[in-house]
Amino acid sequence: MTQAATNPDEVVTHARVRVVDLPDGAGRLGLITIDNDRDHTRPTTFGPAGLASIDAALDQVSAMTDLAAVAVTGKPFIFAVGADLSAIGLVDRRETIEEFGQLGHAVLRRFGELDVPSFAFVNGAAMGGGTELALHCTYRTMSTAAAAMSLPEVFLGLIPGWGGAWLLPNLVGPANALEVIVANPLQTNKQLTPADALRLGVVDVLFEAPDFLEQSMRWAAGVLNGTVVVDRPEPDRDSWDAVVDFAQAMLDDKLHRATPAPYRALDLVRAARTATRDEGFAAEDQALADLVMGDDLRATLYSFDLVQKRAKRPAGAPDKALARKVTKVGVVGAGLMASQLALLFAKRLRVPVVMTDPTPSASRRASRTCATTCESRSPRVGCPPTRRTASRRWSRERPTRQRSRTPTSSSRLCSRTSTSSARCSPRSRRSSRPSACWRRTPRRCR
Amino acid sequence: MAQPSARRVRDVVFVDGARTPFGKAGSALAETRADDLVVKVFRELLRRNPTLPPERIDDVAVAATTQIGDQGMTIGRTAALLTGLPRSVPGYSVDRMCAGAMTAVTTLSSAIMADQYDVALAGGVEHMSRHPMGEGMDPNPRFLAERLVDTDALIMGNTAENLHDRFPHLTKERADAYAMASQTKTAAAYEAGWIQSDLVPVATRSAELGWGLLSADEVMRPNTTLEGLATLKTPFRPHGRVTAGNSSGLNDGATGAILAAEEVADELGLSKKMRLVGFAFAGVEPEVMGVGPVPSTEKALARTGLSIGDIDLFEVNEAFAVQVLAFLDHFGIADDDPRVNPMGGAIAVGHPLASSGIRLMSYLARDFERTPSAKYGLTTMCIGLGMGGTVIWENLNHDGSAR
Repeated sequence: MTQAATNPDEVVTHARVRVVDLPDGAGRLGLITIDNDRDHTRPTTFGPAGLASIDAALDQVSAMTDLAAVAVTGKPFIFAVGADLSAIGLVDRRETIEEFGQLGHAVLRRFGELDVPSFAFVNGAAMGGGTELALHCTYRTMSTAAAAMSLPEVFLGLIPGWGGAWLLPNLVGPANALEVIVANPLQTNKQLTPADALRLGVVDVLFEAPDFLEQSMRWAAGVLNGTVVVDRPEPDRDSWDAVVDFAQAMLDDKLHRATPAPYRALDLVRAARTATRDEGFAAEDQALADLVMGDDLRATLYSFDLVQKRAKRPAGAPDKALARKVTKVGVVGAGLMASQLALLFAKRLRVPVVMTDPTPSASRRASRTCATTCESRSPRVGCPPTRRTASRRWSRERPTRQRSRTPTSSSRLCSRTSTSSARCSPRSRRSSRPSACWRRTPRRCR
Repeated sequence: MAQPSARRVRDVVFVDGARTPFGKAGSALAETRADDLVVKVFRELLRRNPTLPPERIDDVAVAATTQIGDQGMTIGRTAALLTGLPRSVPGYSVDRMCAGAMTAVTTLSSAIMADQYDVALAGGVEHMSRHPMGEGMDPNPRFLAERLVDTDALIMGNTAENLHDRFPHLTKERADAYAMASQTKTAAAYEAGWIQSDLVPVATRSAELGWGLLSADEVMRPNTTLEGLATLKTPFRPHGRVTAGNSSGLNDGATGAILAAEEVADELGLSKKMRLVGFAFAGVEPEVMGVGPVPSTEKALARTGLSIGDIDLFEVNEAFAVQVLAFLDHFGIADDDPRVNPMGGAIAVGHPLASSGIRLMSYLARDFERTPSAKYGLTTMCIGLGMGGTVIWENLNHDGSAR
């Protein structure tokens, strides 16, 4: 067994086969469910044992001679989010990573090489190897409620190494493929919405969530019966290189060759024009091994751990149960950063926020900005629905209370100048200020 | 000053009905939520009737007996939202135990007849895996202390045994023969494809087995024999007569139907399967609730001015074979009369309590379609705590020929 095959911490994904009768007399379908037996908060990933389970499921359906088609779908909310990368930073042998790449290829490519058509019913989030699994299938349906779809490998300093870099350009052409494989990952790992996935040709059809599987099976029956025709334009191979050249120029402008992964991905897409399936997959294995053994990936994984994983689950943080409920927030200062902080508190904590600043005009401006922003957002994601009258009453009372009291801590901080305060709260939703201020402010900051 | 418009009475038509296949409790549908079942049926109805603009639906009534969890929270409204109907379409819940969906239909129809609604969605669901009969039940102690009802009244099997006691000529042999016929008729109807046309296949979640697809009723036993039925246990009484073979089981399933004012159905180009003629509900002693369809049918006939001889087709819910026999016996109809449950019934396909009323109506609509000589038909069922419900329908495919 390979070193990767002995990861003791793998959350093992199981592939389970059931045979169902398709509607409209379209025959029997071998339906494979991939599920790691956890809820949606631990999405389905593929480690060596998981791949072995999928391989066994494929053995099972291959042995059935009466199937009209094979389909694969995920557990509720999740299709699959790709390779289990938890131990990849620990790999110290190049052969190990080559073998892991080859293993993934060997298993997943079987979905495209069965005797019968295969369907991926992408019921939920699909990323990396999950998206690649779907790409290996003959046809793809996707739920309109699927949270995301992507090939995020380049974002992590890798390349889609289980077939994606060869399959996708050959399915949708180099321009759309590069949008998914290179451009989106470099745009802070932008995900495809289901509508995007359909527009780019990554999936064939969308169905709504409440009866997604039922409609997918009905559609599959239609494809098998010939009543549904899947129209896929053949990628234009004449302009292929020009498209990749253009993308490379854009990439140079942005990255100046500072990081290898996007360039390796670009090379693979370029080569996919003429490479056979075997050549394409072998090139992916080599590119993947090069990148995993390089320093860039290790640095990326380290920073990913720091800013993503640790941000969600900070190490050494006190128990949540100790936290006291925050019902009001004060922000000292009303500059750009302070007002953005105030906005963040108001939106996330949904509590009143008080800002103080030595310059009255600054606090007024900050208050206005915050209120406008709150108004311009939909109420669902906005601030606490405080009514205008309430904030008016507050501003009438505030000076009186200040006069009758000893200086507050905020006024003490600003004792050398006059103190003014402003409260960030949304005004009546009837007011219709444009949302431009909200958009402008952060840009100016950069 | 403006005057409210004058009152009108309009005819109600049954536009379309559909249902999920009925599952065996604890089996295929066990991990699928009750509200999801209703939603799948409603969505299929809307797909099948594309000329119905969803915003024209004036109300959604969904019945469930145990209104807890996924069957609670005003499931009529939650189902409307989950179906993706416009937010402007309201909804409510209905409970009359087994006649829940029937009551949803009669209540919505009343509003349509009175010119208050144009189009309505009715539904019923019972997920007896997730909500076993009697879950959370808290009967008033006065029922027993003051002997308001017999202790048998809450155990449906006992009420069926009581019915055998009351009508000794309705023997176990007759009940078993009736039950076997139900299985045979259902198998034949499946063979002919009559039942599948109104089934909405459901993707079934199973954490252990993976996803599956339920496209046919799960509980059917087409190979039932009289000899086999005779050997079954009588769980409700030693040497009793009621067995699992001559009663409906514990099931999961949902049904739904589109109702419309006849003129609105014409306006929207909706199919009109049958016209509501009249309906009635009636109470009987709770300990023999199975006899409920007798007075409710008498009442409905009296109100509509029809006689039992005018009725060409009967859809009688088969909670227990003996309860159907009691109904037929009262009206002098033979046990094996071909006008009664021509596609079989609940003994074969199952009885997810509150959903069954609409199944009877969809069956009757299909019976009418196949029998243009039939003019009138009725759907009737017995109801827990001693009630019966009857709805009389007119065949809109009637060709004027005598039966």
